Amino acid sequence: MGLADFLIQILNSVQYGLLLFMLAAGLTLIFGIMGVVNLAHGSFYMLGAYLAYGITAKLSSFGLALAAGAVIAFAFGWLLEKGLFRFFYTRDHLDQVLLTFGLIYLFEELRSIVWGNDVHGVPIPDWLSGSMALTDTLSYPHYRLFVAGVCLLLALALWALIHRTRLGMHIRAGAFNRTMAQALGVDIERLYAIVFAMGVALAAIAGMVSAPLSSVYPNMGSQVLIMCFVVVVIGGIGSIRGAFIAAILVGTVDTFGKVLLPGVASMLVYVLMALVLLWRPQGLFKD
Amino acid sequence: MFRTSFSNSQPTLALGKAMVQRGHKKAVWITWNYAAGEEAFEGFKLSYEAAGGTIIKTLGLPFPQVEFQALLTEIAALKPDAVACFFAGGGAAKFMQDYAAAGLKGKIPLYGSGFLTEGVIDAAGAAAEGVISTLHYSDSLETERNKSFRLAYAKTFKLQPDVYTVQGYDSALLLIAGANAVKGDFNNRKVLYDAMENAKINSPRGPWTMSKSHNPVQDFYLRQVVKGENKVIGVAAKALADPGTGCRMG
Repeated sequence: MGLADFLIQILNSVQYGLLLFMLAAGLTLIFGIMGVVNLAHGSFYMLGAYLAYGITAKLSSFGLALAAGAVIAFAFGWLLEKGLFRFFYTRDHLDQVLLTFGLIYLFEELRSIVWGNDVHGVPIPDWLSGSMALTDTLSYPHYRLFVAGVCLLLALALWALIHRTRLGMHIRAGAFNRTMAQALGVDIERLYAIVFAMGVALAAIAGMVSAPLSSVYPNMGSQVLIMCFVVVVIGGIGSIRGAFIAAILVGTVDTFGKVLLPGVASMLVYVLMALVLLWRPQGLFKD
Repeated sequence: MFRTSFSNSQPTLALGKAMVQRGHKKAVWITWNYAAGEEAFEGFKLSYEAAGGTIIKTLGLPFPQVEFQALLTEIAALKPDAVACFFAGGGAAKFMQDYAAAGLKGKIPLYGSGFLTEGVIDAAGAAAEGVISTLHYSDSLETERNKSFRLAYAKTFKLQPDVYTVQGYDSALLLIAGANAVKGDFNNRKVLYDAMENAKINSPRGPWTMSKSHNPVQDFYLRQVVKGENKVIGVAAKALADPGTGCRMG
């Protein structure tokens, strides 16, 4: 592998890692702060992708679709928390797993009823459809850089929200000790609804921005779910910073594994997870 | 057991020779690392190497992952004459899109087992244009038999038939051939099976017969995506039989 190819693969690693981060961030938030194991997280990713497909067909503007989709997903998450998830905080993890596992099937069926079972493409917006030449045979699509940019922006926004705002302070307090935070006057119920809705919106945004790259198809959510959990576990459950580092790490291992060690590439990510867990059972950044 | 569809290595068994004939002697193979991908690879390796082609590298990723970017970068670095692949469904649409977005389309021709472009051409859009594949059927097959079949089907079901429809239709044709031979007496097994083994099926895909291992001996068409359709540009292999390796009839 020459230097140029090496650098391009690094670029691929980071770009894939950033997308993984955006997917895993919502999961780690919900898991870490509210203690809910959410297997349906992949479904929210699928929901986002199909929203992008459904809305761009009507609005013909990708930017507007993105904004509208994020709002819809947030509202959807809010309703889901109020109507369903808040009854499960005190329940056993197994109950949560059963609930969210059931939700996967429910959402798949709804998707099938609303949008059908076909594979659909979402057009890349015109202003992002170009690409830049990297070598004489390879070019890099602008849209991939755009996705990386969106992920990076959201990562920064999330960090600022949690570490630099009052809401973020409450979230951290709630994660640390729910009862104590409540006793001190934090409206925990509202807080949880916000966090849950945010998690759903993050997954949906990830689905929306990747829709033009990946096309939308049935069961697309379950494919990303496992990778999400790997990232969350490596990073340390509930740690946004950990999820970020872990996502980049997983992206790199996956990218170079496919090229350099194709025979064992499919298990390299899990080997990485096993090694991290041996070294730090709580994950990289769990306090 | 009788099969009226195809075996997984059959489409690619027709692909190798066609690629060499079109002047592509060095190819990279890429697929998902799972049973169907490996079977497709076996067919490709047999036919491509027999025709004098060299597979310079085989690339793969776990099924059903669709993160192709690292592998596309590798293809761009290897600069083969052509790329051959097996993908299907949503992954196939994404592969063609990523292939085009990486700037490989138009520089390194893309070939594949026909499922690459079945049912996903609309989703893949412009990225699918020009992709060449081999399959035992094409929606746009220009025969009277196929046209009348498609018209009748569309009128009855208000739907467009596809390769899977044809396979289902042919299963019924095969059963009818058997049933006629025994005049409806399905207990007359010997005669029933003999009739099915020797049936000549006049299918919308073209006439075909049964091989010794009960798999269709059929023509494989070379198809190129033109304006969103799998246009037939030739016959890649006449009356191709699956080698049926390791298949023994009881």
